[in-house]
Amino acid sequence: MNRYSKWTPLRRRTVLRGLGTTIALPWLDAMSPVCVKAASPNAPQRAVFLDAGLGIHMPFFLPAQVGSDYEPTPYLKLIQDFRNDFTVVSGLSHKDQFGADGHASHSTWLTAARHPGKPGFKNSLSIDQLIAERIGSQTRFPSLVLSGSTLSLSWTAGGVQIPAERSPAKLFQQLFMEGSAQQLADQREQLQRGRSVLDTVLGEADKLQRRIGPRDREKLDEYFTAVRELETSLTLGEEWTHKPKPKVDAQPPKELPGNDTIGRTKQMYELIALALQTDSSRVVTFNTASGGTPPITGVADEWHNLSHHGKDPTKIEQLKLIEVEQFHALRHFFGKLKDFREQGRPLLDTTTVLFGSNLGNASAHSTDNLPILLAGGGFKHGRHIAHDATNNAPLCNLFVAVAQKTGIEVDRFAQSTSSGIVDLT
Amino acid sequence: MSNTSESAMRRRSTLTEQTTPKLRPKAKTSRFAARARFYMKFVSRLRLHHTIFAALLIVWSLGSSTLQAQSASSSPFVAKYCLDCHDHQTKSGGLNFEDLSGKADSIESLARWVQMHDRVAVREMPPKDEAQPTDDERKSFLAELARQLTAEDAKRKGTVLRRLNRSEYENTLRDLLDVRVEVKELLPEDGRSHGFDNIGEALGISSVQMKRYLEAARIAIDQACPGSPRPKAERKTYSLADGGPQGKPGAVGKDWLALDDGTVVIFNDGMLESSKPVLRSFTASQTGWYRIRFNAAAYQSDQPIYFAVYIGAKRDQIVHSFHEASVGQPKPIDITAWLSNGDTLQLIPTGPDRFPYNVHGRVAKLGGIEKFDGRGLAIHPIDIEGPIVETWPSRGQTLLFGRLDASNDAPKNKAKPNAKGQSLPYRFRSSQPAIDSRRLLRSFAEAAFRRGRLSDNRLEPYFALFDAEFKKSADFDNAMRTAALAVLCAPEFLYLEETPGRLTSYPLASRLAYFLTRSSPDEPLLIAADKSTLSDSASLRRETERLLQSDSIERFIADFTDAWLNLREIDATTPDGRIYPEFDPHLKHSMVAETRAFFGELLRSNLPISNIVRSDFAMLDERMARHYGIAGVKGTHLRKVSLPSDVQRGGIMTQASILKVSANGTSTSPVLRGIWVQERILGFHPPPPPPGVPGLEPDIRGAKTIREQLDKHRTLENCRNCHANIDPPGFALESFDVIGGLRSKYRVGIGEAKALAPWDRQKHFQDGPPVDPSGQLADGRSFRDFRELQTLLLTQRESVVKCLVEKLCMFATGRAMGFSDRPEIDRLVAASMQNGEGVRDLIHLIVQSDIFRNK
Repeated sequence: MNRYSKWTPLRRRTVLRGLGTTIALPWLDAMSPVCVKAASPNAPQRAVFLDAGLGIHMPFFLPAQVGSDYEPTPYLKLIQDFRNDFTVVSGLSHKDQFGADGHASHSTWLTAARHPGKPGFKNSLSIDQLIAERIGSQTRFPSLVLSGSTLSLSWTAGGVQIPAERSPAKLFQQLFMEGSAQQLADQREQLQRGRSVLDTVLGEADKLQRRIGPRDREKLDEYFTAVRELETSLTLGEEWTHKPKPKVDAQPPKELPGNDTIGRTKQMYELIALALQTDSSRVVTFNTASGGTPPITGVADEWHNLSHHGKDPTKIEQLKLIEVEQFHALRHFFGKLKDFREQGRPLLDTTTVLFGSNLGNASAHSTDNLPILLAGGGFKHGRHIAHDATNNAPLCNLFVAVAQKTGIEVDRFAQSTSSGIVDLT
Repeated sequence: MSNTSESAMRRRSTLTEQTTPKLRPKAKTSRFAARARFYMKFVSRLRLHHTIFAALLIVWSLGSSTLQAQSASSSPFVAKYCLDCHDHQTKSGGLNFEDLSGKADSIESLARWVQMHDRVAVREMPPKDEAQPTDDERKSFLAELARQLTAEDAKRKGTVLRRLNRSEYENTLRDLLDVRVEVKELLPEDGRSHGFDNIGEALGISSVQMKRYLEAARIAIDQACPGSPRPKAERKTYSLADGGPQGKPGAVGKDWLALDDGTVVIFNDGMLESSKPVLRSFTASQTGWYRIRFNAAAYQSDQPIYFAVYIGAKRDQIVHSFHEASVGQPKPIDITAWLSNGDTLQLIPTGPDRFPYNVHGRVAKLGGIEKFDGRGLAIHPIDIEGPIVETWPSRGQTLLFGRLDASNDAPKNKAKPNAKGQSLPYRFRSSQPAIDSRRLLRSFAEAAFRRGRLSDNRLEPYFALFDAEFKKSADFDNAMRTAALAVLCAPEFLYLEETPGRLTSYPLASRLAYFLTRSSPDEPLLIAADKSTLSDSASLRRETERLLQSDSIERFIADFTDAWLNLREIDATTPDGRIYPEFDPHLKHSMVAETRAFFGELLRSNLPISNIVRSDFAMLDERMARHYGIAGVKGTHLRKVSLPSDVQRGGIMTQASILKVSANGTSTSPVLRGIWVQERILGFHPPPPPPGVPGLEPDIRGAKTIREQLDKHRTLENCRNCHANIDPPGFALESFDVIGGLRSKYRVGIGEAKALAPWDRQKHFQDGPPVDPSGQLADGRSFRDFRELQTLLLTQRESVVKCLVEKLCMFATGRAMGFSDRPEIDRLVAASMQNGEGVRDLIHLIVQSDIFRNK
């Protein structure tokens, strides 16, 4: 019998050896012999980042009043049940988001790198990956990178896009479906095989390094880092194959027609909630599905075209129909997190959800005054906090606050400034 | 003492020494003058941006021995003529040279030095109303600066160790193994620089990629080396009327007429789910090439009917090709297509005019489909043969396993075949594993590494990996695959290794092959490299010519135009169906094909580069010709068509694909199209709008044209100077709508915001305000429409040639062009212009150039 049978706790040393580093592992569920989670100050904190890539029609989103007595706008009305669980933070943006095209700021929403896609541009670490670097090793999936399109929000420090999972069905499979014993054995074999291969190529890269010039060497360093990081991740992955995946009641999601973007967003929200409930991951980015012509009565045109409504009321009306559905989906998601209790507390209280867009006025591709809604995480909510609309505060300041909430020590990120976001506590 | 106060002091002392009476102390500089200079900065940045951007990517860290030691302000010239405005207080145009490191140790400071050089060189700086340096001062400052910038750039500009991008990676695997692996989508999107996704500097790698490389390589090796007997092709005949797992097609008798011989006549456009002309009785049972043959005829029609063949799984089909069904004698259609397991086909009539959404209402009234008299597409029974295997075993299997035997008996240490009776995979065996593994791993690695014969020493790690794996399991097959996996994940495979200076044979062969065939060098090229003959110009020219004539050149045309013209964005928006009902998949397909064929024609026939601006021909099929209003082009194949003089087409900018990628689905913007023309045709890179300037929000309610809105926008001082350069070509292109149709009036949507059923073909737009395509270039020359603009642009041929030279050099070498490349680029431009500007000649010029032949 395998020494990592499912009732045997993981040994802390085993994990550390697997990591090959000395990352502290304060709170790993697998290490508690019995599945009783004592209320603990170290209870996990999560962060979820949700981008509506085609923007949100601001007049229907942004309240006119500031503070806690704001009049809910049409979209905020839809999530009024959670009024005291979220805050609208306006007047935030990243600087220098004018990029290769109107939607380039998509790739820098969580990184704040300047002039996306322009000559010389290189993306940088996204905030979710910074968090995942610190707390990701505690869960089966250091982070979940999800998307409703081909675009992902998550980037490595070297500026490489982390491919996003687009299929809810595949995500479900990864999260919850246990392979057969044979499949698990095969999987372990593949992981071990991968490690042997990486060992070999590292040796080769070492030799290559001696043949090439200094600038090439910098590039090859990226390769070294990539291989070493993968070795660690394969080792961790192998450890996890010895631990059963969580069991859930939910059925695998069905494949939806290509244009049902909102439907797929809802499916993903369900799975994100399940992933958080089962502590499969604590860091999630999701580029919510957008585009296509969603099957909503009254919507005839493509979402992207509608977002470029050019003030045409017939288009705005259709756009609203879509965005209303988007907020219904969000409401449902908040509900899932609110209803699930962990150590007697709603999961929403330990999950910071940052919902927003990389576009302010999508019709003009503007990247100022982004729509940003912060929910959960134990922040002080129920308000509209407004920053200067002409001289925006850095969205990165809010990122820092979210990252800090996950318990990591960080006081700066990308464009953040020393002065924080106005009063969130 | 801080740098700032030091430099301030130095400046003060410079001022006291200054004898020119024109120089005013800063206090007197009026705000107006400062603002004026600020705007001038944008104008001049516009003209110079192409050089600035070229230098941007170069990681620069000048040693302290070069340029000025501490700060730009240490330079006497800068202190004397620049700091008055570009200091930490005034920061005219946001430029503070006190801040600018003399070490130019960042991308920004490098760009500023080049910018400073260029603006002083064209006498835009110092401003006319400020103290001017003498000609000698200017000359010696520039000469010294240029010398140093050239030296520094030359030291560092070489192409940085370049990773294969995902297209190159997939092409390389396909060519190496001779199997059609589909692994591109597994890999993360590649970083881009200047629109190109093959620039070494921008091609990062992360553990995510590494993981996918492991996965992709495993898939490729397993697909290439099945070990099984040659699959037998099946050949059967299918009818659209036959049922499949989803039952019988419900459209028979309603929207289709089924004849006794299995022919089906389709009267509808196939948009309704239940009456899609899917071949229900067929799905590919194995992945591979299939030959599909059938006859197609126009039915009850006196003109041919066009139709699309879609391929894919039932829900997810993409256009494979367009065909023509002839009048009278049925036309034989013969397609070879790659089908994945589970794929089927669909045949959709597309034109010449749109087909009705459905006809069953009328059919019911008429009392039977036989009585329906509308036109239809008659598809005779479809003969499908496949999978067709040309070479068996594949090159990959031959390389890795030679002629070893494989069997699918259960090995001792593996489970027996499972209860479902699935057979185990075939596994190769060797009676002399030590010898076979050496021999075969050598053949595999030498083919993969593109470097000819490898020493035992170089191969040792792979042998060692084989030995270790074999020792663990005694499984020869698995150990070989694992070692091969390591070969395909090794840096020698994933990167293009080039040594500094002149490229030696093998790296030169690789550079040439990846430039023109987007893949590893083929056999003849490797032989040339092995004989070291490639480094002589005649042989290099011969090989270049051979590749230009190979089929693989299509990969170059597609990848280069994707990046250069941004054709890769063709699907980014879908035109508003209410306003552009004539947009259909056939048009989109033909648009891209037109532009590729056009560039292909320039390349093949060695036509002058000026054709980019204006040509007297276009590459059209009937769908495109109809879109352009050109009569007499029949059929679905592209051909060269002479353009009638009254047609406002010709050149690249009037091609529908370009007009589509430079617009969104609803409206056009002269700004976006202007930038497109400046950056991609003229080689100017307009700077981003100054911080805090909002983008223009289009208003398509019809009250105001975009032009009117923009005029308003352009009256803002902040915007005017740049937009005077950017907008004019965009104004002229206003004559073309978002799908490239010619227009004299804008289309304005009408009607309620209600759902449009797919079959709703009514016009939901009306004519709006008239289009005004006139404008004035920044140099004052005016034009009435795009044709006149073309004439004006043709006087700037040098810019067009230079732009193409720079783009091709970048694509060919995988690096941005830097300051020290300028003389060689100028030489290439001059050589091309002296010799008729042929595009094919230009490729040869570039391949022979120092830029191409050095790292």
